[in-house]
Amino acid sequence: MQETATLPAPTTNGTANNPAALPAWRQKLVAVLVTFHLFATLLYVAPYPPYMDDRAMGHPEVKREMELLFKPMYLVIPYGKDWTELKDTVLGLVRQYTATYFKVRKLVEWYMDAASIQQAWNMFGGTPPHFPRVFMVEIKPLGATEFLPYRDFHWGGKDESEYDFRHRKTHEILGLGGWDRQREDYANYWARLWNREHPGLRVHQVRIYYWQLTTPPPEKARAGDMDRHPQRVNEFNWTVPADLQ
Amino acid sequence: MTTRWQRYVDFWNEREAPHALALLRITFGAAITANVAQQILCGQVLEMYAEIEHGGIFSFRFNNSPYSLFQYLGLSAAVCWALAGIQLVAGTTLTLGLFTRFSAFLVWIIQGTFYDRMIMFRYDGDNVYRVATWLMLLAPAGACWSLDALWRGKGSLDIPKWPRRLFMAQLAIIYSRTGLVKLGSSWSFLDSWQAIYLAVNLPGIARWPGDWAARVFPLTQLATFISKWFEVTFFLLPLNQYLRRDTLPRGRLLTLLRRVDARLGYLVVGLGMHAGIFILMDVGFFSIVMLSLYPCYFMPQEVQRAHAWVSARLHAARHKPAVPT
Repeated sequence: MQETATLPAPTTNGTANNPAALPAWRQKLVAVLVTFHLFATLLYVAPYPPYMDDRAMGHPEVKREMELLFKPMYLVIPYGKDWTELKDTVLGLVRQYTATYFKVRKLVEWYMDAASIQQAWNMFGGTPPHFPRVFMVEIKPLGATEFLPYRDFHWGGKDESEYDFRHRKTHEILGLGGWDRQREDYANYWARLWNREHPGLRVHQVRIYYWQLTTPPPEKARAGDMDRHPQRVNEFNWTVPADLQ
Repeated sequence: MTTRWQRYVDFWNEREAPHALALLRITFGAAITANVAQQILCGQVLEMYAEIEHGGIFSFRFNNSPYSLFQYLGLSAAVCWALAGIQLVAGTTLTLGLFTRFSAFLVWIIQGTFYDRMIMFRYDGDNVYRVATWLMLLAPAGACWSLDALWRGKGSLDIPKWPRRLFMAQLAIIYSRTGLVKLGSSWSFLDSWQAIYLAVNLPGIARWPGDWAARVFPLTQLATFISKWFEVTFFLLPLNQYLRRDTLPRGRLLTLLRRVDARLGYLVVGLGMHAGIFILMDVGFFSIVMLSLYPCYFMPQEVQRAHAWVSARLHAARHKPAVPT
């Protein structure tokens, strides 16, 4: 409390403790630079749709969202012959906005890149998925005819608790899209792990895939129907390179 | 016009006691130290950053950052371990306020380097760390409660307010942007406000199977509503703090708007929301880094009072007379 009592009241132009108060031009410079930082950050984080390609629009989650949004909207704004025409019109406008936005954003990208502060905050943006996916790995050892289960990331399992949120982020990225090159690298990672854990039983092929679940509506879940209708999707088979076999 | 411009310049050049920024440095420094310590202890350093032949998982490089040290040093195991070790030490010295600016610089450049490489593993918490380290680098955060002030004569009784205000703005940007993109039907009546119910049913994110959530569905709906509108309207908090400044002319509307200190509501709801996220979902250090930035909304005199209160309690506990038996 004594320290509080000795503190000078804040002032605009510094205090006796700070005899080298900023000259006027530096004060103006501070105001300009801070304003630019805020302007750049605000412009950079302006919302835009993350994906607008055909693959994204064909995703069951996105298709469901479009229907839920545009069907009621068509009742209020009956533009076009049905809700799909309204949807196409609005998406066209969004595409134009996005193209213009990225042109304008170039004004500040140099600063955001230079300061290494590129940002776009999307936590559960859009909607949390109704159809979440569970990552699975199977291995076919050399000489075997069948794939063997290797990793199962269902809830409560050993693998689910052993690997933390960062691996699950990888599963999410590869489940939503990703490149085959990334899937090959990840498959090789599991192959190396298998080889380490099973000396003498080398890997020939790795298969990664997902169980796509459907989160039951709460009323069904309350009635005891917890069937999540698992569907096997995004299967990727990979013959590992010779040095891993 | 000149007067208005001068007032604007004065606003950004106002000064204050350094205690709130010092507390922010301590909480954020501890959070980033914990983040890199977790990577080291869980054996993730090589998996995430190294070349495959050195224990990494992914071969491609994502060199978006002009300052990624991996571009110059390579992706060997030794480099990855060295950078993780340096960030651990720099995070600790940032927390302690020793060579504060240099520590912040090291933490910033290494966080940028790691973030650039970890594209297959990163989540928003990693980006909060990255963005906040830049703001910490700009801030005179070692002006008090620091070894710089104690040993190196770098203490100061006042510092500019703008660094703390940038943190306030950044926190508001994170929340409000996140709220604005919650446009999906599950965040509204269109799909029964079931976003949180869906989130706790996500394998890989939810800590437990989400069957329990159906039994408390109305609570999850309430949580959905509160968290969405908490985020969307968070930008009002810095606005409220701006209006509560004494130097503004006192009009009737301003008097009304600044009567309520919105911090109590927003920060308590935020604390509850992050506690809920931390308990129910495994999203790493996201909640911790967000909460570590909350001291930016504390006034220096409040931090001083809290410090004095804690010091008095500790002093009293140490010098408690023995109870005769």
